[in-house]
Parts: sequence; structure tokens; C-alpha cells
Amino acid sequence: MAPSFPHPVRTAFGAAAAAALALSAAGCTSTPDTSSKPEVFSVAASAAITTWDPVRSFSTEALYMGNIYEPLLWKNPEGSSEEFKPAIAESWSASEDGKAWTFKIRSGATFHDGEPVNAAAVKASIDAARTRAAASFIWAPVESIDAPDDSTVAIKLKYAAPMDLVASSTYGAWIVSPKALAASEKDDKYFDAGIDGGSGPYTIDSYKPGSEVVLKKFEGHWNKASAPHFDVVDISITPDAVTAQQMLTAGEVDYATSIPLENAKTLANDPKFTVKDFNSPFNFMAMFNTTRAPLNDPEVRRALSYAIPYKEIIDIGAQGYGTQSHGPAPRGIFPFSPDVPQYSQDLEKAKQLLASAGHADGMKLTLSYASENPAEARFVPLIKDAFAKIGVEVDVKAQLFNQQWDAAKADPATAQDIFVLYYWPTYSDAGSDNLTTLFRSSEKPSFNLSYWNSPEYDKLVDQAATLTGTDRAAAQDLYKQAMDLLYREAPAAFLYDARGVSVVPAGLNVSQFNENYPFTVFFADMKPAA
Amino acid sequence: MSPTTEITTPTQSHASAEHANLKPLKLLRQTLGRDRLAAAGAAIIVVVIVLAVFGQWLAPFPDQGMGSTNASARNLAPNALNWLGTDQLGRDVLSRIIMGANPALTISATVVAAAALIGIPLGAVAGYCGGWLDETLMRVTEVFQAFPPLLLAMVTVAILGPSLTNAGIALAISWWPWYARLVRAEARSLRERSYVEAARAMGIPQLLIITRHVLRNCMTPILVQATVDIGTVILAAGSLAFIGLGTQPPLPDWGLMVAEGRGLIFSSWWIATFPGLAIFLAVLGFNLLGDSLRDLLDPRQVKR
Repeated sequence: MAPSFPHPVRTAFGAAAAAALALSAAGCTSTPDTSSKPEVFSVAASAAITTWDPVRSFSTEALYMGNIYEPLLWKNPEGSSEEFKPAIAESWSASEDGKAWTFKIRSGATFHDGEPVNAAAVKASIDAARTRAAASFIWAPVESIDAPDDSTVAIKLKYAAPMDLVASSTYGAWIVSPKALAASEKDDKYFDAGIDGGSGPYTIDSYKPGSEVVLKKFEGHWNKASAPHFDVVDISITPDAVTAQQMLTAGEVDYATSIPLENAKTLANDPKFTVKDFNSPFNFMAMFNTTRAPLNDPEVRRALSYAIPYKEIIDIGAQGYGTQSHGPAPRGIFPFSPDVPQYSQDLEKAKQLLASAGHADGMKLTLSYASENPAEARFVPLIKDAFAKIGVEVDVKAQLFNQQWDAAKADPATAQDIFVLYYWPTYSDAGSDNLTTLFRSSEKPSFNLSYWNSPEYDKLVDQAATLTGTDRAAAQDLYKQAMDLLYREAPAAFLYDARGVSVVPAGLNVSQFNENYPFTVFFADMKPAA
Repeated sequence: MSPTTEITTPTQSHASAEHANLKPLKLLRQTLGRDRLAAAGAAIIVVVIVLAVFGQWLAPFPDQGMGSTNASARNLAPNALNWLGTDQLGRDVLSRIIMGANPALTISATVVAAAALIGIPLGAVAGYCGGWLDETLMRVTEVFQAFPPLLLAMVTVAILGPSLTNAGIALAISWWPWYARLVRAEARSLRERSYVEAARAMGIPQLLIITRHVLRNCMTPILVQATVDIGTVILAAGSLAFIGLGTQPPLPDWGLMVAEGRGLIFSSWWIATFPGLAIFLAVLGFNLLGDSLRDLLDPRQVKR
């Protein structure tokens, strides 16, 4: 059940995502709305639009999609009183065995094109996602979907799975107007011009490819209680973070979705801004090639794990906005546990372990990383220098991610020794994604780039996955055991979980950063401070 | 008087033949003597060459120049120890600039040499032989020239993978057509010259005519072009490194250093500014010298 599908999004914007900065400017406080003049909020956004098709979407356009479309459920950020927030579904329940899920659909909601939001539309959307979404694998457990009446969707599963988490995915789970779905099935390019078929608080007003997206408030949205403050959101597509920062400081825009991470600290010293940081689903790890000497020896892998300068990597790679990982599950995402042990840098111990493994006179290793990822480019030299201190000479190979990944998948026997990976789960279940995708054995490598094969581990994660939908505590416990095993066997060194950073000006209230939708900026929640 | 001697006598119209007789060193001396800008350019070039050759002895922190990190001394402003400050990984910017001269000069010299080695023979054959061979070769060069050089290099690197070597290959691939066309134009005019015709009439093998008469007479414009191009290639290689498609960290490269320091330009301006200046000066040096050489060799572009 490992989602062995590629994550195209992973390659497209390592840079922007690494920064994961949501930044707002002073000066967006608007004068009281005395006339009918629309209130415009201008934004510089780094996110490119690879497609407007909500079913196919699997990349940076998530920034806009989350404002235009709604899923059945929204997953709340860690620490919220409720795990989920109802969206298209008003309520939901699962059978005791976790194989039958029922979602009750809200009445009175309509799509932007006037079609009613009902069970048939939900069924059509999920069916479309199952057949042609880039993230269709999230629906793999589904056996059948029924819409017995307008307000009921019944999902039968082949095996127990957490459909509440799946239904709140940022990819492959938007509910789309049946009219738009039918049109796009006939014409692949239907959505290209910037047509939308959503039910969210904003709708696309105009779209100039590569330069501008204008969103306007959808007056017919079901949720009158939290209607957007801003009537129009005018977004300039600005891929370059330095330019975005300049536009922001020059007052050309009210808000910028990303600025260079290295400047967050400087802006924090500016009295006009408050810098807040949050959990994010992004983390970095160094995966060891366990198929051949010398890294097939767990003792050597532990030695390397002790040699890594975790603190410096966070200081420099993450510019201080990161926390050392506890295994592969990112902080705040199930099944993260702060009780999973960590290595800390201890060069003496590393040397001893190397010597006892028979490598007292050192070794040569190759390391590959994605050259387009600025954080990796910053911290890889630190690993090289630290390893040199224990006699391990590292040959660093900077490659574009796709080349790095292709080389790693081709043949483990001739592949790199160490693969530096930037990763995040497709939806908020790092158990079925990170833990399984990265470390469960498989015949052909996809993202399990340690090429690790541990029947004990496989059993733990397989069993945990079947419990996630029904008994999350039991699943968490099994996953914790699996992560303890990862610590002991060290098929990878877990470097850090990146923090999402938001620079909020006095004068603007923004919603809490949600690690489950790290690419989305929710414009509906923005309003001038009282 | 035999026909041969009569024909090889230089006349006023044999301008390029005349220039070919100038020894490169003599040419250089003449240029520098006449033109202060050229002298300034030459001085910059000498500095760059000295840095490229002796960099590891001149750099205050050669290890850091090659990429060793020093995490405790990050983003330091210029000071007594680090004259040009330190970068995000605590490395001495001056050392990295000095150590960056070698790869910059090596790649540009190699690219220009490779482009000349490919372009010159093809251009000479095309221009001298004419006909279908000329047509074919020139259409091929046009295909290459239809792409902006940097774009073609970017595509090539994206296929081969980013590294200094691949950036060099990519740039050579996009540069050679310019040499082919330059030489072809010269060769076309040369082959109509009576002394070349005479050589042909005497039954001298074509290859010998091309090397001895055609190529030799093309050398001066090539020399000028190559001088300017070395500067241009430094800039192009720096651009590739800047967008992540050239030299890879932790190796020193001026373009890469500008990229690494760009985000910090408002808070730690020295990280990107000084390597940017290094590129600017190096390119300026080669351009000044190249332009002066051109002025000297091309009587139609007399310096005003």
C-alpha cells in the first residue's frame, strides 16, 4: 500500500517550499468600508500554476486551489481542539472495522457555476480523482462509493484506512462541480484558461499566465459566518523571493507569500513585523545505501549518525528555523513522537564506532543532493567537513533532483552512498507515507533510497497502517516502535524538520499557519487588525 | 620575373595578409603603447592570470577558498582578518574570490579553445570549398545560432547535469558556430585572391592551401574575437553557476558566490558584491584589450 507514485511537486519548488514563508506587510490596513468600492488585497506569490485542473493538481497551484475549492474536511493544525473542520461534509463516521465510511453532505452549498453541492457531485469528484488525479493513489483503499441520497456518501474500503485524513488531502481531494468535471473530461484543456468549478470562498476573476491571478469573493458561499474580508485578491506571480521582498518593502504589494529564508531574522528585528514560526510537513534526511559495504554495516551507519553536525545544519541550512528530527515523521504530523531517540554530534564516539567496525583508517563515500534546493546547498558542505574529521572523505555530487533521483533508482549496487532527501507527505499521514514510502522494503526502489530491507520493520508499519483509521493510538504505538528501530539500525540520518515562517505586520490578522496545507495561503482568513 | 613572385607581392588591398605578418607579441606591444585603456585591460588580465596560477598561495584562507566551512564566523562584515568579509558558511570572501579566478579562467580559455578548434576548421573548409559542403555546414551553424547562446547552454547542462565541466561543454557547443562563420567569411574572400588561385594552379594540395594560406590569414581576427570571448565566457559561465547550472558548491565560483549572497544583499552586501565586482573587472579587462586590438586591426573602425 505504499504510495509508490512519484511526487512531481517535490522537484518543482524545493526552493520555495524550503522557505515556506508566509509573509505579510504593513500598510494593508484599509480604511473603513464606507462606499461600495471593493477592498483589494494585493499579493506577491511565488507559486506557479502548473494546471488549473483541481483533479490533476499536484504542485504549487495549491496556493490558489485552497481558496477556490473545498474538500470534504479540512484538517486542523496541531494543537487545535478538534482534529478536523467540516467543509463540504457536515459530519462523518466510520464503522468499527474501519472499512466503511459515511460522510453527510452539507445542504445549501453551491458551486461557483450555480450547480448544487450534493452527494452525487462528491461521488463524481472522488471517482474522477481515483481515475485521473496525479495523487490518485491516496484513494487506493477505496472499493466503491455510493450516493444513496443527496446528503449521504458511503465509501466502502478494501482494507481499513484513515479516510478522514485522505478526504482532507491538499491534492486529489477537491470537490468539483459535476458540470466542470464533465466538460474537462471531454476537453483536457478546459480548465487551462483559468476556469474554476469550485465552491470555496473565492472564485477566479481573471488569469494572465505567468503574471497575474485575480480572485474575487464568491457571494454565494455557504459559510456566511466567516466570509472573506477582502473582496478582491490581486496576486502578482513573482517566482523570485528577493524580488517579492523588494516589492513588499517598497509597498507595491500588501503581502508576499515567500521571502528568502535568510532574511527572516533581519525582518524580525524590524518593529513593523512580527515573525512567527510553525510546524511544517517538510523535513530533510540523509539516506544511507544499505545494500553494499561499508554502509551495509549498522555500526558504520551509527558512526556517521554521530558525526553529523545537527546544530550547525539547523543554524545554517534552516537559518535557525528548524528542529532536529525525531525519525522520518515531521513534527506535528501523525505519527510524530518526541520520544523517538535522536543522535547528537559526538566525533569521539563516531571514531570509536568506525574503528570497532574495522574502518579506523577511514573510507570514501559519495553523497548526492538536489542542487536546486538552497537549504541543501547550504548544509551539505557542513556534513562533508564533519565527516572529514572522522576520516570519512565525501565526494559531493550536486544534481538536479530528477537526475539525482533517476540515478538512485537505477541500480542500488552502483548508486550513491548517501542520498540527501527533502520530503513531505502527500496528505497528513506520515505513517502511510514517510515511514512506509521511505523505509518499507520494495522490489524496485522509489523513494526508499536506503534500499533497506527489514521484515521486522515492514511488519510493524503494515500493521500500524490498518489501525490508523480506527485506533489511532494503537497505530501510533506501532509506528513509534518502527521509528525506534530506525534509530537503532540507522538506515538514514534524520537531519531536521523545517519550520514554516510567517512575518506578520502590525495591522493585519492572518490565520494560523496550517502544516497540513503548507502551500496554501488562506486569503479568506485575512483581515485588518481590530 | 616568375608569376609566383609577382602574385605573392603584398599590395595595398591585401590588408589581412599584411596583418598576418604582425607577430602577436609585436601586435600586443603596439596596442598597449598606443592605448591606455588597452593597457589597463592588460593589467587586469595579468592580475587575473596571477590569481589563477598562484591563488592557493595568495589566498589568506586557501581551505575556505575551496569550501571548508567555519560556522562560528558567519556573515562577518569586512574586517582586519577577512578583508572582504565572510559568507553564510563563515568562509573568507577574499579567499573564495582569489580561488575562483582559476576555474573562471580555465573554463573560459578551454571553451574558447574548444570553440575555435571546432569552428575554425569547419569554417575554413566551408569557405574555401564552397558548394554543397558550405551550404550544409552553414545551415548547421545557423541551427545552433538560432538559439540564444545561454539558452542552448542551459538546455545542454540540464540534460548532462550541472557541473563546471558540463557547463564548459555546453558553452563550447553554443560558441563554435561564431568561429565557423568568422573564418568562413575570411576564407571565402581569401580563396578568390590571386595568390591562392596561383597556389591551386600549381597543384598544391587543398589541405596545404587551407592551412598555409587561408588559416594563417584568418589568425588576427580570430585572435581579437578570442580575447573578447574569454571575457564573455567568464560572464556566461558565471551566469550558469548563478542559476545553479554551473560550478556546484562548495567549489569557489564568482557567479555561484553572487547567487549565494543574493538573498542577503540587504543585510550582508559584501557576500554578493565583491564576486560581482570580480566578474565585472575580469570581463572589462578582456573587453578593453579585445576592442583595442580590433581597432588596431580594422582600419574602418579607427578610434575616435
